[in-house]
Amino acid sequence: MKIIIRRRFVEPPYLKFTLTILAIIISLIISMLIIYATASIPPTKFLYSIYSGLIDPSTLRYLIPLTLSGLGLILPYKAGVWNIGSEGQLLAGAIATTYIALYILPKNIVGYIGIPIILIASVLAGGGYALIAGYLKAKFNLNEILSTLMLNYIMIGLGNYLVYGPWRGETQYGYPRTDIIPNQLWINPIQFGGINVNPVFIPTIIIVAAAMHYLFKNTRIGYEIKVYGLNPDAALHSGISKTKIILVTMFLSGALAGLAGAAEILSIHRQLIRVQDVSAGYGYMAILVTWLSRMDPLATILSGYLVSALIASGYTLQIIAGLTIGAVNLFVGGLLILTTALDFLLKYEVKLKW
Amino acid sequence: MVNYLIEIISRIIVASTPLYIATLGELYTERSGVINLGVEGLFVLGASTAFTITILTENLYIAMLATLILGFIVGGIHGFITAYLKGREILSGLAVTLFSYGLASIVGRPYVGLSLPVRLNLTANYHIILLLIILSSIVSWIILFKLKAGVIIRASGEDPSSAFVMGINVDKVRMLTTMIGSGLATVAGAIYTLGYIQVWTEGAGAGWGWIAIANVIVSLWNPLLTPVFSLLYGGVNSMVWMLQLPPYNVSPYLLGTTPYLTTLITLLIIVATPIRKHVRPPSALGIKFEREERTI
Amino acid sequence: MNMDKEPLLFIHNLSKEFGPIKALKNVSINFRRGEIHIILGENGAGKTTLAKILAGIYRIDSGDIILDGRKIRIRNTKDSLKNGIAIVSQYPKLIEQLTVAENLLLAMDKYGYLNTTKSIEKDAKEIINRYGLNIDLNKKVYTLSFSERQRVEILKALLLKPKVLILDEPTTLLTDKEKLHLYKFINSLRNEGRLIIVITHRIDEALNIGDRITILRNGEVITTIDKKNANKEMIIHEMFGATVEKEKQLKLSKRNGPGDTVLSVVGVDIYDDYGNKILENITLELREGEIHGVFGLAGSGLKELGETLYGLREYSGGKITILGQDLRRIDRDEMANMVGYIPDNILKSLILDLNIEQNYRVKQRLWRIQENYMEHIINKFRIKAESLKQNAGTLSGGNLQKLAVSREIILKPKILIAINPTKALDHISIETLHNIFMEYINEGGSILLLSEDINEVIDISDIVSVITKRKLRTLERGINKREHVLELLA
Repeated sequence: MKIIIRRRFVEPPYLKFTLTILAIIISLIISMLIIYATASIPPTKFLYSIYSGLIDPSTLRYLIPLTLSGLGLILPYKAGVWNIGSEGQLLAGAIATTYIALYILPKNIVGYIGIPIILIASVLAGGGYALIAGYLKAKFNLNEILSTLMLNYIMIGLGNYLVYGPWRGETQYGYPRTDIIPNQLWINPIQFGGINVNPVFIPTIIIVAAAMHYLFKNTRIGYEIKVYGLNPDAALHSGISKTKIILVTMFLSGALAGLAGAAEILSIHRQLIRVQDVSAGYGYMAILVTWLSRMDPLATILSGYLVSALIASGYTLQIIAGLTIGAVNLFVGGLLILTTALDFLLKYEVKLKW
Repeated sequence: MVNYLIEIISRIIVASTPLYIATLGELYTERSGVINLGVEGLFVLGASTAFTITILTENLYIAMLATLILGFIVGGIHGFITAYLKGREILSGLAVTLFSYGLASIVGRPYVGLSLPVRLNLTANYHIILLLIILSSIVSWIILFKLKAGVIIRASGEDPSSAFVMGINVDKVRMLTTMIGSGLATVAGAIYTLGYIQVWTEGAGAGWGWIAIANVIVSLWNPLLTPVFSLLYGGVNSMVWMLQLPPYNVSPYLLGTTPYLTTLITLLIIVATPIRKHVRPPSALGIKFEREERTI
Repeated sequence: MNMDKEPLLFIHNLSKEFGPIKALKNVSINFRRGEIHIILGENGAGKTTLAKILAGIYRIDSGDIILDGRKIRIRNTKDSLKNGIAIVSQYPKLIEQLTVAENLLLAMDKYGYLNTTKSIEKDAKEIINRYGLNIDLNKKVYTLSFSERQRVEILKALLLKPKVLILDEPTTLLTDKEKLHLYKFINSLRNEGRLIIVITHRIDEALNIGDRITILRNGEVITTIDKKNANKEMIIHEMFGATVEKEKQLKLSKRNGPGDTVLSVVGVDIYDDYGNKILENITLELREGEIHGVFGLAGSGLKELGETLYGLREYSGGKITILGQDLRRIDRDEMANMVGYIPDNILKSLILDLNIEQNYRVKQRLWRIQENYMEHIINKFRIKAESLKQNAGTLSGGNLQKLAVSREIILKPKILIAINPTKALDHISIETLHNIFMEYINEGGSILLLSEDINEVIDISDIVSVITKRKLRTLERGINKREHVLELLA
């Protein structure tokens, strides 16, 4: 028997979608087996936790940070710029939010003035933090993967320093967290069709996804980003500026991650807590969200929901089986491995010849 | 005073050893043209697996061997995806890291906080370790730059299509060096828990793999330079904690960022100063090698 | 010597297709021990495909290869070497970053992983001395000239003690003196009883050195003849068939004399990727309405020169002026509008994952181009495509290059900088492209042609410069004879 592998020139319709579904199914089966083998959690319990994650409205709680960061990552990834720093950029947004809310704004400021100021600050903080890596890449060609990773750890250290040190709240009985921000600055969920929906960030996600869809479909800058990602040399030779592409995509992705950080503080925690509790690796999981959607902004909402459900089920498993949330990385990583592996079938046609 | 100095030196050497081993592994991988971001996760996985197996078997050698094999297997996933399936190297490496983080968490969970029944006493043998580090870097240099094996590895990383025409199975070479690098990364993680921190908590060893990857660049892909920078990073990381004590009283959370700051700054020095003339990554690093037609 | 003339290698009914193109059709040839067998044909006749099949670079679709009366299978380069078949390819396939000795070690299958370059040194030195090859084993390949690289390829092939040695267009870049040396060398190899297969499109060369000549046309064997029965007229007839009448005649139509200077370089130093000086004190002038051809070998700095002039690299020393503006003051956007640019590799110019239309739109000023205008361009430049929506990756090499050139010159920039624009194209595409260049010149354009193909530079340039030993020397206007160029190179 011979296996013949040929390069495809035309991609069959629906193949991407089919392969994505296939990747999800296979990785769930593998995770199930690994968890059964190493932690003796029976498949029924595992499947139940996944099922409950998918139908649980609390999933929306993770959907916001994941989808916002995931949408942001579409921009650099389309341009072939590897921003792995959403985690740090999200934390930069969260820290800026807390800082503005607790230390800058007057205590009695009204919400509709205070909240926009906070959101702008978080966007600038996240975007600005990403620009450090962007600038170093554009100017010195410093590998952005490594710089964004290092910046993540630096921001994690900084955040924990703040909550354990100078920002530790006076009313918190010595716990490592800041004081609670004034309650007119909270963004509380509202009831919508029986589930809790965030009135600011859910519409933001929809608007950003639509805007990004338009950006890539109809605008010159969207096209330049795509072209640069497909072939940086060709883009450069046609007069497209490398510096512009890197800085724009890095800033925007950092800005959206920063916004996700603001969402975590304003809607969930209402104070800065230990950073590993602000973001349990959302910045890294967002990478999966982006790739699972194949960098389609509208599909990112769906993949964001799916990954949120995985996290939610991870928490269920944590409760019923004593696993830590770290175990969620097993699904996330497994799914990402299968997505990259199955990409082979998009580019190559495999035929059996007897 | 002399004793104090020896203690410091031995601590720096022990702290640097895992980083050195992981860096050396990644150096082989990158010389063949593959970037393996999985090194980070594999280090963490090695740390947790070695700890758990030592507790279960009370045998350091079994633990190391099992960890090595696990590294071959999990790292082999990345090798297979990049070398044979021509997948996206960066994503695949990150995926392996996340997967390994998860696996490490599950494997180590039941034994968190326990103390090791047997220990790898590195501190007492620091001079032997230093000797081994220097010897292995020289041997690696000989392998890469003198032996045919190294010529094959470098050919795959510099010009895979010419290498292929000369009859070299580039895919196989890249698969093998990725597995070697991955195995060394898990063993490095094992030495980190068994010989250095000697306990295990969730996330133990995280971050070291990234530094190892940066270290390959800073060492200019030359095994003779890896010990130098491994000792630098290891030294910074083990010494900086002294600033936590009086009279300095620096926050441990800020001190925790120093290895990453040091890495970022050294990387910047490498690319933003005239040293950049000597930064010559393998020409085909991170570039897929695809033949027009393939038959298995 | 007669006893040597027994059959050694027999290929029977060999066929090879590349998609729709039938490169070889049922080719059968009988090669004898101790002969120089010429495979003669024009570009695109299938000669190189045949050589690459024997070398294990391509796989056959059907047919048999019989060596010493035994059927053999050649699936890869290793199989071919194992059977004693070695090739010296037209473009030496050496690994530039390695030394000569390392390249040789790599190619020698019989040495294991633990061997060092010492293992091949003795054998290599013996061959170098016996044939007077003059090669320094410890030099890195990227520092070698073309003829040195070719000698390394030959040395590499000889180390394997081959029964069959294939030389693919071996004299393209050799001076007359070097050629004679090579011919003498081939003869002595033949006299040792080996089979030497020489692939060429030069009829004189075939008649000069061959014992027997096989003529290929359109992938088919036309005939195999003994040298004593062959003459030039007959060979021309067999090589070109009915098309002999329209022997390639460029439409080198009359042009206006050179006009104003559009591009000038005065005393500039050029650097490679690592910041090392690769060209020193370059002075160069391009005038309106002319083609200025610059010839240089691979790795001589030709590519770096082109990239510098297009503003992609740092330079130092003097001044570069483009259309009256200092290059340093021109930003990327403006540059893309003022100057058309064909990079050294089509993949740096076109995006194969996008379709034809999208590839045009990559250029800022073509962003809003109308579809029917694009169709007009495609017709004008004779690009063979089914529709604008066709994926660029499915076009042939020639059509891809025409697409790239059309995009660069359709807005009539004053200057076109082209680096190796016809490398690896078939002769028909080369001719079409050269005609397109001429039309562009007649419409008022000017071209800086940077090429590794000496024939191209000599054939279509008005003025010729040569890069040699990190310097650029311009020949007097009007003088562009091949020998002058090669003399400068030596």
